[in-house]
Amino acid sequence: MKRRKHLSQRLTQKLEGIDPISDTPLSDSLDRNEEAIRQAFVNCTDLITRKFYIYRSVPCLAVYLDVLVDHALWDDGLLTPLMSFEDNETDSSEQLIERLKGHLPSVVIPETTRSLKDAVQRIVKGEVVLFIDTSIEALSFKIKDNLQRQLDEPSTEAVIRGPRIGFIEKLSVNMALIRHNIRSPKLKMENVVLGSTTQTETAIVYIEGLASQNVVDEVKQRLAKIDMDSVLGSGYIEELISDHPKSPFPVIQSTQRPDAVSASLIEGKVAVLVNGSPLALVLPVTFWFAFQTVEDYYINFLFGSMLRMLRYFFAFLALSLPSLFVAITTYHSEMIPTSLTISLAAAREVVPFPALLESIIMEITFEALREAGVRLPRPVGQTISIVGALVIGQAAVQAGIISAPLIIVVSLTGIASFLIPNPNMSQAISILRFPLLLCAGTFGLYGVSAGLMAILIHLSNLKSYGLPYLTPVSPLKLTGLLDVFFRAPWNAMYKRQQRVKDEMELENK
Amino acid sequence: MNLRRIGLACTTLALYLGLLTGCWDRNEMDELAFVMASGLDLADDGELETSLQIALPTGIQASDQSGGKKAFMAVSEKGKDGMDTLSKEQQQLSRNINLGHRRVIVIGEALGRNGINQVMDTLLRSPESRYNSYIATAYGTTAKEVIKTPYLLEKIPAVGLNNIMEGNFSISVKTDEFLDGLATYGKNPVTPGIRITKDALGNPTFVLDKIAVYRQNKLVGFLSDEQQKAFMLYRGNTQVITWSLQLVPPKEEYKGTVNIHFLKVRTSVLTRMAEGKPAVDLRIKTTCRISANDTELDFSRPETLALLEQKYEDELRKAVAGVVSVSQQEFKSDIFGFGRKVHIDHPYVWKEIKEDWNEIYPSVPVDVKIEVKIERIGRTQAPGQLMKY
Amino acid sequence: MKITGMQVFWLITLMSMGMTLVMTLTPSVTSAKQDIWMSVIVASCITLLITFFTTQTSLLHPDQNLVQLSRTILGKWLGSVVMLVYFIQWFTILPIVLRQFNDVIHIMILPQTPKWAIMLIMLSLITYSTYSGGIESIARCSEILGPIVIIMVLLTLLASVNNVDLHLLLPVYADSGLSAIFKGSLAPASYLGHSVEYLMLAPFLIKPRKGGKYAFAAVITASSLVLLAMTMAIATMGVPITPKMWYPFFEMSRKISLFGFIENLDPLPIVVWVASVFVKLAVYLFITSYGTAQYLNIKNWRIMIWFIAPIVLIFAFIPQNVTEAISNYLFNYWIPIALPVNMLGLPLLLLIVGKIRQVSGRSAQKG
Repeated sequence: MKRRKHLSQRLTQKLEGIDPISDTPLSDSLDRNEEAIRQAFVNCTDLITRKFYIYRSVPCLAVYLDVLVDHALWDDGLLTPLMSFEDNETDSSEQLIERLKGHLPSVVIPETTRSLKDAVQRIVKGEVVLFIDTSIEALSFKIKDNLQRQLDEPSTEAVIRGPRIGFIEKLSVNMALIRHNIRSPKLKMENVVLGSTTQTETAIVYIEGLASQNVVDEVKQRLAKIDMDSVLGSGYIEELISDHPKSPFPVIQSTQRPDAVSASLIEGKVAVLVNGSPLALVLPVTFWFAFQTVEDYYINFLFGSMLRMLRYFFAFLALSLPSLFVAITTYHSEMIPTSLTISLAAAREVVPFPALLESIIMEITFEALREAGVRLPRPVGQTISIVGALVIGQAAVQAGIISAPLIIVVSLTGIASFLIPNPNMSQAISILRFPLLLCAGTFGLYGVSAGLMAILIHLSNLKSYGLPYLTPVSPLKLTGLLDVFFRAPWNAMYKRQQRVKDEMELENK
Repeated sequence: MNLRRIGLACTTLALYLGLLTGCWDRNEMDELAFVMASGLDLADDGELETSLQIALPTGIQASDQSGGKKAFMAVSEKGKDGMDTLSKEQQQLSRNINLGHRRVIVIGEALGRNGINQVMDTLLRSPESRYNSYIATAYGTTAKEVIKTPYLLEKIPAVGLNNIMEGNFSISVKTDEFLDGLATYGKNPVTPGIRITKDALGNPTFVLDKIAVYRQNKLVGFLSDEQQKAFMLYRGNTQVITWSLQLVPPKEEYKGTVNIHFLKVRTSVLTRMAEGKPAVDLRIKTTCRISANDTELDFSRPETLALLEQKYEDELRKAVAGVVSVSQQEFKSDIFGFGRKVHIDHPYVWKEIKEDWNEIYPSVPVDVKIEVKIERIGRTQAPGQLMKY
Repeated sequence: MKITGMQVFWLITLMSMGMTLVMTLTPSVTSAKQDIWMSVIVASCITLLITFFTTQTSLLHPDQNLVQLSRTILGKWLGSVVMLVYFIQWFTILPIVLRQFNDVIHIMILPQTPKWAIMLIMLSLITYSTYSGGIESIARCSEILGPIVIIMVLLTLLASVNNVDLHLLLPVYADSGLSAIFKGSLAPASYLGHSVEYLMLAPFLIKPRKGGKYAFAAVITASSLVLLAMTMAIATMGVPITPKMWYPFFEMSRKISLFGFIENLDPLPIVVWVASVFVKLAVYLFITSYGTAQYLNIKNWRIMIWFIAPIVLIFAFIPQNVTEAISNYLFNYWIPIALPVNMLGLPLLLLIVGKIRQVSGRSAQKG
């Protein structure tokens, strides 16, 4: 906590003075206002200032950033009506503004502003600010261009039977997607602006009555504490609002699926949406969420349950298979059936490295291959996998550098790590695989069990917004268990909606 | 705060690195010599001689292509005790001896007759030793010979021995059962006996058609043929046993023999006190199947079947009583565990006699009754020969 | 730090079960022979009695732990003396259990690894757990580890069913007799009697008054598993061999053979059993540090861990060999002193004095 504050303080210090516009009120002279705006936007070639007349007599000045404004709407919806605005009463500029607000035939609702700083900020956000001669108020119109990509199927978290839609980079669209799923006035969306330069809009989404008020308040508090210059995605704030930023395990879920967020909201969780990021943050979460997918709820519950158990089993393998292999072959060779022992020994006959070193080399190679495959453009990525499979797999074995059984173990581990739906959890497990390997290399199975126990202790110390990370298994909550190791049929889970809130309340008692 | 944290992290790291350099018990698989079988012998000069059969991983791999390379090696050393010889053998080997996969322990006949106490301590004490190894006794030869003998069917002879015993083709005795027999009053251990012969092509091979009988910790003799079969019947170890019987006198076309297969064997031992002395009633109920019929008789007829059952009951009773009396008179060793049953049925009497059980045993009256029920008569009803009409 | 009733259940079950299974079989079989199951039943009854005393005592002042309780009931001076008796128990059991644990690992799976390395790993685990989260962290771990340990024990037993020969349990009673059975029950009773530590755990409960039933359930679960496991071990190994082994329960798992293919799985039960020892040691480290801090009026009990952990490690080196670690401590301190005094006597004393005070206090109020 202390350190987090420290960090953000440091960031502010560094970036201080980047925003020199003082909070001065607008002047009633058009020219002076124009001068001030131009000064703020020095060297901004995309700034447009356009002078024209309302009533053919009242001079006014529209200022906007060319690249951000929807030109069609600006021309047809505002400029034309404004220029052709006919009103014979000649009165003060204040009255004029009032009438403009009331009589403009546009879907765009005008707002007024009196400060220069506010005006500049509105321009930056893509609004058109209209200064009127002799008025100390300016009108601003939100006609920002909807610069956005098509709604699209999310590239991660693919499903077979679920909805195909995913979040995009625009906050308003994302909020709309959730509203489409949950049509209730109880669905609350509160906006916060983060980042002193980026001015990123952020929404805290929750359902009143289902979400625990403590969590909502805590989220607000932690968001308020963030004092960063720029927030360009949910990843920026994920670390800052997390309970345990130093733990490898994710205590906040990030997802690209509106249906997953909606389901979480109904469970009583809180979501944080950040403009510019297609990933929503969901909290509080438990350890087990990382092994659940929305798909589980769309398919037959038996198959869903089977998939879950498969995931848990393979997650365990992803974590410990290489270390179990090392421990058993180098410390407890009597555990392996005799015939297998002899063929394993035969395979190792020509290999120069000890088993521990061999596995570490191969695991690192695997992680490198994976990273290379993810970052490279797709066609090259395939080349990498071919090179990896052929060169490392076959050639290394034939050259007698690596033993064949180890290749099997490493690839099985690799497959297992891809079975974990949550990428953050998958990363955590990949990281922890290495210390566990060292434990196995030093103490055999005793080392492995000590290592696993240390991980368990760490997990049991974690909390996500007050919710113990291992709930509902520890502390035990029987009704919660229905949706952990297997996915119970829907009629058995009708009370599930209350789950998180109940658990939170239990915790805060 | 920070300083302390860094200090703590450094200490942990240093400690861990210290641990890493340890790897005390680590043994790479290619640094191990997997002992598949070991043999124990009494050398001529009275020292203990042990032999190890060690699997060669390279041999296994190579033999797929060339077929010529041996898949095992054998080493043998003399010494004062088991550990002494083991350390001498270790000096001959480039790899660490690993006993974790030892399938068979062979005891040489000479050593057996001399007593095996010393050996047993080694078996129990070593953390590596397992109870899953089978124990066998060499018949008319040394354990060293058995260890050296190749077995063509399996690449490693020990695997062959292991599979024979595991498949119940002979009696099978694991280390723990053997030790239990040694340690319990009222029960003496047996092991299968291994004989070295040659197969039809003249290659050396081994057979396990004997049963070694121990009295306390000494080998006293072997059961063979009928006696061995009767003892296996008692143990219910009848997977491979068939029993032929001369049912009717041989004729020109028929030899007059019938052969049965045991399907189910239920043995019960009852003890009673007769005039202050224990007496044993041994009852064996067995269900059989006719596996060969070289007579004219048609066993689908009840009276013929009854006759056959009657004959078998007599025959088997004689055989079992025979092996009981051999164990009583010749070996004076309670291999049936009758004493254990007396212990259970008459615990208070047992307390007085348990020390002397080996002396009492030869004089214990044993009443044997066999009940034979022939359940299936095979796929044909009539004798196999073609009957002309 | 708050724990739930279920967590107390797992804490006590794991504390009692693991070491009892492994450590007490040999001394118990030596005297009770094949009637060990009767011994275990007697031991369970003794343990239930202990649990009854402790739960009743904790009900007198549910919000106080043993240190405060003894001072409240017996007065400041006498209470402190009583606590010294408990501190002897706690400060000796920690190194002894650590040492016994080390010996198991040493004998069964890592014969060449030095003692300090094995113990250091365990010690750092319990220190980490105790320091980072106190009893809450230990309790949560035990809630996860508990089912795993129990499933593993049950699987071991299930896989051994083939090797069981029930005739080995016969004859009943004749070979042992009453006194032998009772003598055989002392060792398991003293190991199962860890429910006395409930007095230190109860105040951490969310509902301290309702903790009693969980303690009872834990004792019953642990006792029945121990009963089952010990009986099966005897029926598998036989009476003549069992007393010769240090750890017959693990020897039993050495005999498991599945499909004649999977054999020698004994390291698996051993490493799972490590979990049970971990819980026991961690709980003791916690109550020792917490109790000592409270006794000496030290506010931050976590500081005590840094003193106690090294002491434990040093003490654990004192016994020369396995016999000293198991037998001497068991027969010279644990059974003759800890069982009658710490587990039965003092809780009973506290209960009686506390009740009398309560009654007299009430009548004084009335009068």
